[in-house]
Amino acid sequence: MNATRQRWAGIPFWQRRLLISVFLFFDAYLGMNHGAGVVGWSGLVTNDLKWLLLALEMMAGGMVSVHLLTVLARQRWRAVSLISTPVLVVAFGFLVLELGLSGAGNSAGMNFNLASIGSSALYWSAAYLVIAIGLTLTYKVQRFANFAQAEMALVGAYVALTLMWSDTFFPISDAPADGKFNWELIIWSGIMAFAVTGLIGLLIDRLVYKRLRNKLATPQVMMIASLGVAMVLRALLFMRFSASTYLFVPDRDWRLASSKFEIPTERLRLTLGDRIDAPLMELADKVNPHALTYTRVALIVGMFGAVLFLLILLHRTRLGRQVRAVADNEGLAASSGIHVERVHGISAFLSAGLTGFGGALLASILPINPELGLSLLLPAFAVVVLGSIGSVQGVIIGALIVGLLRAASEPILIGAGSALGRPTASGFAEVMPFIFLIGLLLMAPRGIGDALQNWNIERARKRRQAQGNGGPDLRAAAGPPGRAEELTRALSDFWERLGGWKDSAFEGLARAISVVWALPNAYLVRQFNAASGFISGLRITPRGRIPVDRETNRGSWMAFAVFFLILVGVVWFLPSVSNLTKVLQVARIIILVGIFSLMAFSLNLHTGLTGMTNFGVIFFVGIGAVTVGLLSAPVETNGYGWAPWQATSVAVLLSALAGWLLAYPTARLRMDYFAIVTISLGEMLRISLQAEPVLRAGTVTSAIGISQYSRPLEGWWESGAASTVGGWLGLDGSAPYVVLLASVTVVATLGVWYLLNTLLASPWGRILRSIREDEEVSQHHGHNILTHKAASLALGGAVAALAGALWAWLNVSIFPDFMNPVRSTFLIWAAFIVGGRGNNRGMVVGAFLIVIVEFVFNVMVVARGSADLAFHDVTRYMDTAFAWFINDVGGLLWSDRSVTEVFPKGIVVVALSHLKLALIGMVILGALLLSPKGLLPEVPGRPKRAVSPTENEGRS
Amino acid sequence: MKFTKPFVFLLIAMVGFASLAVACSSSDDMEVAKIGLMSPQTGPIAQYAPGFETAGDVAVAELNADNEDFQFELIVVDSGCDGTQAATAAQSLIDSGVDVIVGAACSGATLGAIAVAAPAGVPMVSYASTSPAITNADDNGHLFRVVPSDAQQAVALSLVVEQANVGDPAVLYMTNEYGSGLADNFESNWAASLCAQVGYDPTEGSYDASALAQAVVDGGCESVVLMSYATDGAAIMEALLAQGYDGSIFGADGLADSAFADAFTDVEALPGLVATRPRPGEESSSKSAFETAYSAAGGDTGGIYTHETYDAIKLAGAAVISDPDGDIAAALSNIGVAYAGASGTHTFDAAGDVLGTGYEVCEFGSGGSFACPQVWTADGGVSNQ
Repeated sequence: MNATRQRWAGIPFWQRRLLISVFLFFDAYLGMNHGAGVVGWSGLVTNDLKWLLLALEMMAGGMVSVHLLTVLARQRWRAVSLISTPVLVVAFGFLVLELGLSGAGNSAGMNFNLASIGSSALYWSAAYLVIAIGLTLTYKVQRFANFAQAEMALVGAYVALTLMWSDTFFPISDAPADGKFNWELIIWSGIMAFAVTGLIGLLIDRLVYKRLRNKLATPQVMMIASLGVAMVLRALLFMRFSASTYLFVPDRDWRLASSKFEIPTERLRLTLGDRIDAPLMELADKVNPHALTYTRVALIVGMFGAVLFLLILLHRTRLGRQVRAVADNEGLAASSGIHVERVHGISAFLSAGLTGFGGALLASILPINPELGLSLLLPAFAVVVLGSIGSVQGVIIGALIVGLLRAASEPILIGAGSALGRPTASGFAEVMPFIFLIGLLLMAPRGIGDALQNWNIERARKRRQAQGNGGPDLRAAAGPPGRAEELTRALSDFWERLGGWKDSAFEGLARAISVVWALPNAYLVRQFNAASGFISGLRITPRGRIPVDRETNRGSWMAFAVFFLILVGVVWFLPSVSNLTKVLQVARIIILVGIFSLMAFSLNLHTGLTGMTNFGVIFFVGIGAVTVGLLSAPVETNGYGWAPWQATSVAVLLSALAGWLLAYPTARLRMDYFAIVTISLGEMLRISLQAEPVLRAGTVTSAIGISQYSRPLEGWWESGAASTVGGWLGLDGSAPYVVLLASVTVVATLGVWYLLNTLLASPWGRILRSIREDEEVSQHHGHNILTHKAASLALGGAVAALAGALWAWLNVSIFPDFMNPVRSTFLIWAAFIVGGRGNNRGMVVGAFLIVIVEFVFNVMVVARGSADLAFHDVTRYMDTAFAWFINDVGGLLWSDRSVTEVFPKGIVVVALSHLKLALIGMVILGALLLSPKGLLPEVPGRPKRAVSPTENEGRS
Repeated sequence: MKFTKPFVFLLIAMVGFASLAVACSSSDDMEVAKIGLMSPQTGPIAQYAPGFETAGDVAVAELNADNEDFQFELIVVDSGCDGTQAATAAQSLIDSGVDVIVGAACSGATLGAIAVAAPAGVPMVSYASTSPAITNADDNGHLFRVVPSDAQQAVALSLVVEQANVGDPAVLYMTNEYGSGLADNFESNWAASLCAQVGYDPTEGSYDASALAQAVVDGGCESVVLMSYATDGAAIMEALLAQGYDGSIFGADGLADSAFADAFTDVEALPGLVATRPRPGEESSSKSAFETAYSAAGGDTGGIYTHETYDAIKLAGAAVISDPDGDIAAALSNIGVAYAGASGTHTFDAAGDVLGTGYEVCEFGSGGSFACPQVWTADGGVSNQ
């Protein structure tokens, strides 16, 4: 055994890789076409699962060989092969499909309408660019992932709608079709959306991000802050514009089906698999021209124009040079006399403004409602990552690639789906960008823009060497002179020739921003500072308080006890009508707190202790819930009929395995990339739940969702224990099942907590912390980073899967929407940040707080409907105040029509469920601004250096 | 102690808030009956929530006008279209003392909420959950719904398409429980092969109507069956027209409403659409009465399942009136026999499902005309009404 291993290790690296790839490929090939090979012989899997595994195996073989190509290729070729990986990967996908289908004796026909794919690709690129362009600029200058970017697009869209509803423009929008195009409204909306959204972006930057910058907050903290901003903004939009869907109609003629360009096109029919007499490729003889509607043209032209504007601004003006200088090195830029804060303000204005402008254009194609954000935000993240975070050229290429992929995958999925008996397959088009992104990151861990840049540097160097004039030309090396760049250069030469006025124009813009800002800025910020200073200055205990430091073990426990007791007190006082309902309520709170604590433990292990930014907690939770549900659902309804404890153990092991395997491709990725990979995995699982019939159980018709699965000890409980416990609790009948589930949850949570604390107090815990602090140093100390990261991911995955199992039992059914990140991942992140990173006690407090906020707020929500409940009058006052604000204060800004369109009959009421969202967002922001370490900060392994209490005061 | 931060205040405020709630919630007005409405105010179908709530207000106003013993109150909470949030919301409703809960819309939310409501003995009437999973839910007879399962409409729809005799259709459907359930059942009822079957996520920003239309045109399909809601259905029909498609278009109850025209900016795309929807009761004037009151209340006319919401609340109210202190679940079963509602005649079976009384076949004509000349019944097939 050992000898074999050594011999294996003795083979050169590339030969090993080649062997693996060839083996995987042929084994899969044998499995597909001859029913042989490892998968075929093992006989463990059949039908769909077998084909899926074979396809995966062959794809893996292909990926290994493509990766080998990028590793082996030298210098220039390396860059070439890296850039061509997308093509290679797609081509390999076709090969897998061809072989698999012919193995199954099946064939798939795919229709590629070239103009349609082209226009669709451009449409998706432009739609993703709307958000990606602002994201990139924020990444470049402020260096964090801005989750509020999608809301900026929405703000722009609603500005356009408000303008449409104004007294001046509504006659234009509402006029009947007359064949004449009116440009007035669309142009004004673009300008207004740009300006208003930009100013809002600036305001948020000043109020939130600037203050965090001043505290030297990490990008992680900024990211979470943006999550809070996103929640608040979305909630405000909901409250003002309701959840209804509206379409922006610049002029009815714009949106007619006849308002289109007819583009002549060809249709390519590709037949893969077992072709009988159809050729591999054929062109259809008579094809109608493809119609490209005017609104789409407006979006595409507008968005690419905006990117061009940004490129010119960044590369051809003094202002742009300042922005780039700050992006490269803030300190140096400051020392050479650049007003760094002003540059930050300008970049915040531009990134929000451009996105708002795009949002206005988008609103004339997509019906807008405040839920729109996430479906565009995540692919936009993929675009930004693909284009190497922070590179504007990269983001154009990334958007085009993702757009093309999205557009081309639709016919492929429709064709392959119907051949494989999976008409639902086209639902996967949505996640194709993520699948592709993950595949590509395995090849080029630093994104495609980076590869492009290296290629260009290489080319520049080659050229210089050929010219023989040695000395490095930094400008040529830094600016990638690709085709796109040549175009911009040509354009900007023209720009240059226009003379010096442009600098002064942009300078003027910057001045204008500063001046506009200066008016409310001074006053608002002063007030805000004063207010927060006042709050921080408050002291609960008298001056002679006992100095208990939350960053010591004892102090942390004491603080935990106090917070916990306060929260328990809140639960105690939550209203309820009878003993039974109170029992139900308390049991539910206990279970939810347990589930959220477990998820927060998992996140804390991954992010707080090992330093891997995991945005995919729900992925592991989902694996746990889905596996438990599927395995323990009855056989006659597509389940497997296992006992709950068996299903749970398999789920936990499976999730741990997924975590372990995840480490290998992703451990090299930097923080943001890991975040986007994990969040994409969660989305992929969610879409699979919608679109994949294998993941459905509980009904004979295989409808979406998993239900009817058995829950632990349900029979034992019903058969006697329930009535005994019911007696203890003083109920009339037997106790409900949730009481049992609550006790199971408490045992599970305490057990995991104890286990984690023991493990983390061991040397292994210290290794994890050292990886978080500095990977290089701990590697230098002889630790195998990869294994430790894998172990951490596996352990956290297992804990999350346990939470998933509990969650599945609580909900009695699993539907795709339970994996919506807004309700899971983001809430757990809020618990994690508010509770205190790196401290499991903080996780429990954070989880408790997040759970209880919902219950407490519901007391108010419920009170609106009934006159005899507490707070009924409060909600009435709130409605009155809100109506006054909307009608009288806001009425100065918007027309009456914009109110009556949204609120039926103009009766304005506060949407309390959205107010709650806003408050959760505020709590996150408040926690970050006032106490960035959370309620219970991490307790350092070593006692703190003795500091006199007075010196320590006021800092935390 | 170094609890200098305002969190403590936050927590104390919450305690105060909660204790205040206890202190105030001790009123004993006679004859107040609370009905809880779970509305998907956030989440994937949030745009339909205002319609449900307006329909609810209309129903409660009518209940209060029609009886002298009870003052009905409608308590609206957010189901979030999600099991966890819906169950928490159901718990809050139960804590506030509702007699019956109407909701939820999404099947996952309904199943999550019934796990809370059934042990507490509060019955639920769903107005929009069409998943077959609802039938088998472990609810101790507490869960009812006024929408038939998807299976039946698919039978009606496939017969309508077959009789139109326009070739094998392309099926475009939403990959949510409603669309995908309908599409699965349509496929199994359709004898011949389908020209194409394409699913899409109806969340705005997730699908490209133009590409869907192009797939139909490129597949050479002569008819299309749309299983969609109003907004996405209109977008797809406009895109079909723009791409020069001239075949027939069929739809289900997501589209079969005269108000569907409001979702279009180019109404030229609408004429010719044939769509099915649950048939209202024979002699029922309930439907037109509801529609008048609903639009008078400013209801969003593009909404879905508003008739069902109205019926569910009226049923719940009738059950409370008939047996105020007894078993409301049993009262619901009694009342729900040939109950003539706005969305059809409802009779609950043992599982709390309704079978429906067949479907209307409606057609949109040019110039915004809308008529339902035919009906489909389980035993009679399609006939003129």
